[in-house]
Amino acid sequence: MKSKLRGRTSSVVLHLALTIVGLLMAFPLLWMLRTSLMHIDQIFLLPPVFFPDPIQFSNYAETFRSYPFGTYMLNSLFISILFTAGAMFTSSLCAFGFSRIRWKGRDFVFTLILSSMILPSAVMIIPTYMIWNSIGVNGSYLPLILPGWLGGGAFYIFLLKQFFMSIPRAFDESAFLDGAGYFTIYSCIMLPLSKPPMMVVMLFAFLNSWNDFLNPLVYINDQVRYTVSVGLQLFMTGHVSAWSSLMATATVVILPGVVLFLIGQKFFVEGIVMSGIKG
Amino acid sequence: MNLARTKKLNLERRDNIAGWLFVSPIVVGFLFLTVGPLVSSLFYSFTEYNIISPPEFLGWDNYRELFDGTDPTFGSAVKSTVIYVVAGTPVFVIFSLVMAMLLNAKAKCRTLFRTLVFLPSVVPVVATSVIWIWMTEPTLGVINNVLKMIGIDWNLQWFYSTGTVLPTLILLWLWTCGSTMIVFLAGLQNVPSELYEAVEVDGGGFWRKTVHVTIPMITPSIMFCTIISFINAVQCFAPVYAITNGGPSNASMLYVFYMYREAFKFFNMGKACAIAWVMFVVLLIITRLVSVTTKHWVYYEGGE
Repeated sequence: MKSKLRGRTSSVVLHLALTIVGLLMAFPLLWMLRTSLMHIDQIFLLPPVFFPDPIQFSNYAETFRSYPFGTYMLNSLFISILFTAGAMFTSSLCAFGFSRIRWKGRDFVFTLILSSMILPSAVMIIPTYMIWNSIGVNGSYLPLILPGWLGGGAFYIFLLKQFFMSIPRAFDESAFLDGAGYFTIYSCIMLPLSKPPMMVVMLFAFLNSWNDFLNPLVYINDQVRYTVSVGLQLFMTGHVSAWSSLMATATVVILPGVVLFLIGQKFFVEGIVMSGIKG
Repeated sequence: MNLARTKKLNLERRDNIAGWLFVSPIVVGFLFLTVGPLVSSLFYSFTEYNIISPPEFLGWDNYRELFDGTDPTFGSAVKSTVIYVVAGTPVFVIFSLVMAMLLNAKAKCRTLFRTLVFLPSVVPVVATSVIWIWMTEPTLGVINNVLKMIGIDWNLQWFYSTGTVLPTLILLWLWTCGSTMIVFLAGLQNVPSELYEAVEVDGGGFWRKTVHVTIPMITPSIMFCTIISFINAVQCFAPVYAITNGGPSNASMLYVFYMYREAFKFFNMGKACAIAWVMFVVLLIITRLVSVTTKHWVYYEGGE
């Protein structure tokens, strides 16, 4: 009897804590949304008004009028899609090579690649910029896309390798008996079985590319070719106190990533838990 | 017998070629995007280089000038970064762990709450910065006004005062704890439930379970998340660029922003590379120290 009451109380406390946390986490985004749909005069009212009245979309019109955000979104989309495709393809290839083939030097190379994850990317940005500069591709999207095709990053390879290692070798062996080569095993057996972690790679790679700020800032000079994250920064410096249109711009920048995330979010937790990344 | 040996060698050779072929993208990437920059930045750190004119050899000057006070901003950068990282990382890791534990408990709409907590980390940092500037505006922003409504009239200056800017940046970081929280969640779900049952049988409650089962069993996750969070903290750039610009009075001149400014505002590539290498060496030492000591407190189920 006593433990049932204790159970009930702790459940209530738990749900209360969860609700508070959930609201705190969601509040900044809701506030952004609310401000974006309000007239500039209404947003400064004290005590603060929570629901816009009337709801107006003119702030969004301002967003697209002052800077070519439509173009920015297309630019970001172009870069992110190409980057993600490359990341999915090359990271799975490399993960396959590290997990399904026994070759000389495999573990050493893998440890080396893994150690590059520890390197803060910020330390690398300047020398990397100089290397791209000396090749002469400054201003193009190449520095933003090519890294995706060169393995995508140690993180995705690590994730996929862990997952591949959980698939029984019996599949490979029977394929060998049927005369299949490594690439066939990769494409016809491994890939179809790896949908959840591949979804994780796709979502993370896309989001990282879409949200990236430092790299587009450094490599793109032509205003028309900016990405959304840089565009937002530009908007902010040009419209310092125009809070309602600023929030509208922020909403526009956030929306695609959030939508993509909501669609694929069940894969996130599943994918990470399944692939065994826990330390 | 000779035939069998040849066949085995051929298979090995085929495997070697296939292996290298499959991992060639990342090997090229590693050489081009990791080793190359590392080596060239080391070289440039000993020069004065502004891209337009050829580099001029300086010896150790760049490094010496950092430490002998020629540039007082270096001191500010180190100081603010150390405060941010040393204070922020434990707070962040503990907060993420608490969140994960909260979201691991059996509750209705658990998935909804997990999504809500994860959502902020999906938002681009620039957008996060913009929203937070707006919310923390001392006179017009919603936070101070709501606090005033419930009687807390502290008039916090958030990003605008030297004493509060770093804590506010840490708060901003806490808001995006989603991805770390997920890693802890995965770790928590792998703790064998028999251990919890054993504590229950002995009459232990929540606290006993947490201290004697949960925490020891997730030490690998704790180590992983602490290292990753530490590295992320050291790399903090976008909020400084978008919100504070290093201010007020260099109180938030975080290291990467300082380096960026040196390179892309003052065009001192050589000095910027030296700044980068100082950080790199310090991080190497710290990472080495940590991995050497982990044996003593991290438990691996698979045994190592």
